[in-house]
Amino acid sequence: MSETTEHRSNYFMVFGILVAALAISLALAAVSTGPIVVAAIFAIATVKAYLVLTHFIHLNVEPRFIKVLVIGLLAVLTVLYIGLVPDIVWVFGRMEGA
Amino acid sequence: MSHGEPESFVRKYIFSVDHKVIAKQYMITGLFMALLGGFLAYALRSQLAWPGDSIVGLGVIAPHAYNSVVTLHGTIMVFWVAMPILVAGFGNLLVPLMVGAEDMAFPRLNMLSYWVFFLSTIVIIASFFVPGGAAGGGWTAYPPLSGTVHASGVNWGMNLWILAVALEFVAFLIGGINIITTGINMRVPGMSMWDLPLFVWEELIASIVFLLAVGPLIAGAVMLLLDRSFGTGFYAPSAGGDPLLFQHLFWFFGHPEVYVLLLPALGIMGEVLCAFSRKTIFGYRTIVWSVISAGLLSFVVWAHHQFVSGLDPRLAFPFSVTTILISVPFAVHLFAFIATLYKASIRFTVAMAFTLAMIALFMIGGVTGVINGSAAADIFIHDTYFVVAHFHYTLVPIVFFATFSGIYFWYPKLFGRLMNEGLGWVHFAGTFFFFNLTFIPQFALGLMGHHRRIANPQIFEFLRDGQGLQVLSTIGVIGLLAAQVPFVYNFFASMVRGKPAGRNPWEATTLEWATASPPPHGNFDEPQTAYRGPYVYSPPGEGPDWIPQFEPPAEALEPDTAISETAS
Repeated sequence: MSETTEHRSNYFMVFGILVAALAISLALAAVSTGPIVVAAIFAIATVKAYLVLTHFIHLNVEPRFIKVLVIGLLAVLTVLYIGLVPDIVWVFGRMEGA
Repeated sequence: MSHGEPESFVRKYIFSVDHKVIAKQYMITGLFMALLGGFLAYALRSQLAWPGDSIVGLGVIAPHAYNSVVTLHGTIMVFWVAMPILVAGFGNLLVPLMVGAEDMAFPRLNMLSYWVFFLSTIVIIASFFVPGGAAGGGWTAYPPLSGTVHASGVNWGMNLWILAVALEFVAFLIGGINIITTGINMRVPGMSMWDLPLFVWEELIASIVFLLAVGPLIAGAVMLLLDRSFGTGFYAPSAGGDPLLFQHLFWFFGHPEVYVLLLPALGIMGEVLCAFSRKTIFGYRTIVWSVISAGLLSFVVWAHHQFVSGLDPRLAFPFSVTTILISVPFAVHLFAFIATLYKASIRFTVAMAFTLAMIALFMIGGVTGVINGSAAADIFIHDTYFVVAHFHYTLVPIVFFATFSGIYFWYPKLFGRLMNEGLGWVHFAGTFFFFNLTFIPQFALGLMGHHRRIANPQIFEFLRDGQGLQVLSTIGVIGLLAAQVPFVYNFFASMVRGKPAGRNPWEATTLEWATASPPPHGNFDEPQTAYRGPYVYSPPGEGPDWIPQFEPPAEALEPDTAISETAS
């Protein structure tokens, strides 16, 4: 228990960062929907996901096995995405130049 | 997590938190659903053998009702028979006992898991009785057939199907987390991961695979429900959607699901083989690594179900390769089992007979799977009865032969008695013969071009010559169902008339045999310790031909017999 207390996050600060990141994403989307902006929004979303996983789902204090399980889940998600891209994103006619 | 023994009937037998009671609840619900799924098999086979005739016990099946019968047969057998019996039933009964725990890690979650599953069972049965009938989009629920009401004529039946499957997944997610936590965290002192019985390993990997695979299908099912009920267009090309997306999401879960079912079955086989061949399992660590690698590979094979779906041709080759590759760990697995039998002192019991038959039949399923895995061959045989025969040669041995083997073997731990072996042999002989009579003709029918979802094959001239095979296969399924009568009688009669079993009637080595039959509340009279690996049979020297995992060591014998020290 004392170990958990030592690792307790500053939830309000993390929440503030998440809100600020959301505001930046919305502002970027309002400015443009070009590929660079989309990439920037995804990058911000990745940082947000990392913060949520680390601080609110407590991965920073979980044992290594749980972290490995989450990494496994992300790997599985990546495999699914790679498998879907040729069919669902690059289908002839749906996305030019594919 | 410790909890006292309940006093009232309701807390003891209905809303119980005892893993053994929950195991019985899962098994009995699963066996009841197997009767329902079996009746649907009889109905659909009768329609194919004698199209349009009135079927005894059901009447005439209209073409759209035939779709519902086929859909619910597959759905029930996979989700309401295989999952509850193999994963939840045996998992609940054996994982805590085998690791020496007094219960599951989260007993109340365990109870919640069963009752969510029970609710899903009510919902799927209720779907037969709503206007329009039960879901008719196949057990894979592909849109557009499942995506709109007008495609199949089924409205609430399909909605309830989605709801029932979603509830079922919730139940098994809760159960899976429980199994993983129990298997890893609640091992007795002295039991390293390399001292776990094979069954526990296989349940752990199966639960992790299920955990990782089920998310996309839940998302896919929600999108399907939104398409049907709220006018979205995730799978509707007219709205910019794509029905192929659902196929991807379904099979990304669906193929790992095959291994979620297979792995516990292989675990049961491993335990039964060792006990009745009186030999240490051949290649324990190799088997475990092959299970882990199969679990990983199971996530990169899914699109082999979609070779004729309009899949990007560039995907066909890699998925062909991975599909053929995944047969390797299972070949290793079966080879290890066969090697375990080599020069063994085999005891022929009914449980052993079902396990041996499973090896033989599963190999036929495996070999025909390699044929399907080749994209070129699959284009010809896709969706034909060849594929139907193939997956029944994999799933029936997994789901039924392994289940029967496990029930005959662990019946003492369920009810404290032994099942009648004579009736068991009648059950085994009938099941083995009629299973083959049912499905061998279907290979030939498939190669003739018989598509799996047509209600009347006689309307196609090229299938008329196969009508004799249709009748033969249908006689097989009727015999297969009849062969279960001795089992059902034996299962219930042995609860009161069976010979008292004692703690360890099979002279087996794992921790569940250390306790009374049936185990008391809390499982063990005193805390257990694991002194060696799980399969020390026929050690060198005089004395008994087994040394239980829970028996304190005889100093001279110990260094040579611990699997954890000798396995390479």
